[in-house]
Amino acid sequence: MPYEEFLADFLLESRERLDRLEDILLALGETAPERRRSALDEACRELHTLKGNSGMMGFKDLQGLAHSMEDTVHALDAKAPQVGPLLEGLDEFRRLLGLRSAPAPPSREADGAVAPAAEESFQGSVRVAFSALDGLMDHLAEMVIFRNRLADTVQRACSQGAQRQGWEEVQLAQEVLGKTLGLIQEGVMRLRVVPLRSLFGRMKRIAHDEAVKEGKGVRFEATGGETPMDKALLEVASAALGHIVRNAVVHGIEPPEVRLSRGKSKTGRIKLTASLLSNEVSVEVVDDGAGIDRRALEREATERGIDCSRIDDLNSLVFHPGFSTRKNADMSAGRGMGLSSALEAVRRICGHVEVSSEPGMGTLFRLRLPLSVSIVRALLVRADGEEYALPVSAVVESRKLQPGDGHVVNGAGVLPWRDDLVPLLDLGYASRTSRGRRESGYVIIIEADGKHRGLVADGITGLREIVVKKLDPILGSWEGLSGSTILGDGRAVLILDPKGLTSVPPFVAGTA
Amino acid sequence: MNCRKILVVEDSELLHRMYDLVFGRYRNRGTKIVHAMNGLDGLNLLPQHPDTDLIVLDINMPGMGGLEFLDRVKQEPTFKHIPVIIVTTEGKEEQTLRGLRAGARGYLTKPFEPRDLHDLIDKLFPRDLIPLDAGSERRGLRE
Repeated sequence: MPYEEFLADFLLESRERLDRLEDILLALGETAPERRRSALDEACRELHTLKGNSGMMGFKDLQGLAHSMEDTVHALDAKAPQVGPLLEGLDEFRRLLGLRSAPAPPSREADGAVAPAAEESFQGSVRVAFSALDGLMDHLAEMVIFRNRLADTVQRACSQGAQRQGWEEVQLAQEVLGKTLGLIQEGVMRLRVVPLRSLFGRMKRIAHDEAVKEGKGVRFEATGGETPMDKALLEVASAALGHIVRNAVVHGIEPPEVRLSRGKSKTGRIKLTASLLSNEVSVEVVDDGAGIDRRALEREATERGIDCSRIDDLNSLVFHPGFSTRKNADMSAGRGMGLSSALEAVRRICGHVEVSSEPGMGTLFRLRLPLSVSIVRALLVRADGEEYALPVSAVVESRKLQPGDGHVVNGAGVLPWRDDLVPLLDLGYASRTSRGRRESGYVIIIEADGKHRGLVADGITGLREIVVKKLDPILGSWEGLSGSTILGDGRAVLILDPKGLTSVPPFVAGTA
Repeated sequence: MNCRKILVVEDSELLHRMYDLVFGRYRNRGTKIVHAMNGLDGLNLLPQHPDTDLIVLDINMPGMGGLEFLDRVKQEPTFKHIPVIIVTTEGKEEQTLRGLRAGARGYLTKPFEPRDLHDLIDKLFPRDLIPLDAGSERRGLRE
């Protein structure tokens, strides 16, 4: 093949053309009829170029596929275009391109100019294998752990009165090392960042496919494509958002006749908005559908023996595993499993999901994700001789707790805080290391999903950058934990999950 | 005529890179390649490169396509003499015909190999563009 060295360019350009083609096809339904012809011409042009380029590369199968898709576009009825078969062809084209992404055999040319195997379809200009960046992150994480260990050792030595000059230099060196590591960490993080736009196409496609299956009309809009996100997080976000969008089409948007009878436009709207907040990324999915049927949720909850009086926000029931108000489960939404497991994955990376809904008006899902995945700042807290790491992002404030500061309301310890009462949660009691709640120590006010808890512990022992490691499922799970980390001195410490902690009932035995 | 510049009008980045490779043998002899991403781009670039001696023209392009570009070039007294080779893809023979009627000097159908374009240029411009030694082709290819 004379143009072998262009394989990577070919793959990249073809994927871009396929993305554009998909955009055109998905937008066709909303395109004004008089402009459809020119949209179809554009689709033809993309396919024609794909065909020509595939031919140049010697890929007969791709050439043939593009050719038959071109014929299909020509045969489309501009008045009622059926794009289903074309979308299938597009998927097939992508699959065939994927097969070609395998590393090329080494070239026999003396200069060894081997066409680099194209990795996943990156948008923009990052052309580094993600696995390489991931490896770099792993090594960096190890370095952070050892730097922490070094810092601890130096501090111990200094506090034990090692005043010799040698130690001061070590101290200085480790501080500089820490700063440099921070810069490298930031730099690598930035390399892993891709614009969220790369996800919009997939979401648009899901909305389209589900709408076709359900016989509903759905217009999908997305804004904030420039929002940056760590590629690893993007995968988690993609799975969760996919479920949310699917959910919005299947459960949210009503069938056209129902919409009309309710005085709404025939076509439902789903709007995805991404934005960058100070320390996190927020992605909202809003639909103008029926909203969550709280009564149906409550009914189902009661059937399953869930006590609704203990749940402040009934909407959050939609996150429970196996929860669905839809009677006939089908292949896509309706099984109730997908959403809860996707959201579990979001929680595992310290993200949050919120839902609010107005009956008859629609539903809003808000996904809040951290900017980077594996290193977080955490407060180290101690209770009953055990140390725990608490992500700083959830900490509102901390203060000393004196006997008599809190009191008991309805069997739960509470603390007056900012003109409000915040339920206290004894860390030792919650993690089963003590039998009652302590009267003194420290209270750390945490916030998750708008809910506050005062976490009571014996002490606050430090502030660290920690590397999050998942807990092995074999250890079982407690909703208050999200993972573990290894401290500078080599100790393994459990990481608390603020969201889980705010859902632990604050009741304490013997106080009710 | 000495081939000083070749204007490539083509919307695919990939094809531009392929032309760079294919024209390696001429570049070695001092020919410069000018790249335009569509017909309009090509029309804007032409006045800046009055020493263009050959235009290689893709037909299927967004914005201004190849056939319209060809018509416009043929109306310009300064440029209408520049020989044009049109490049089409299999299945668009009627476009090839229209291009040839509009004054193109030759045509090529995708997919083509480097030697197909070399042979065509050699046929159209016998003395000017053929490299002195056949061995330079290899060097050009790996450039």
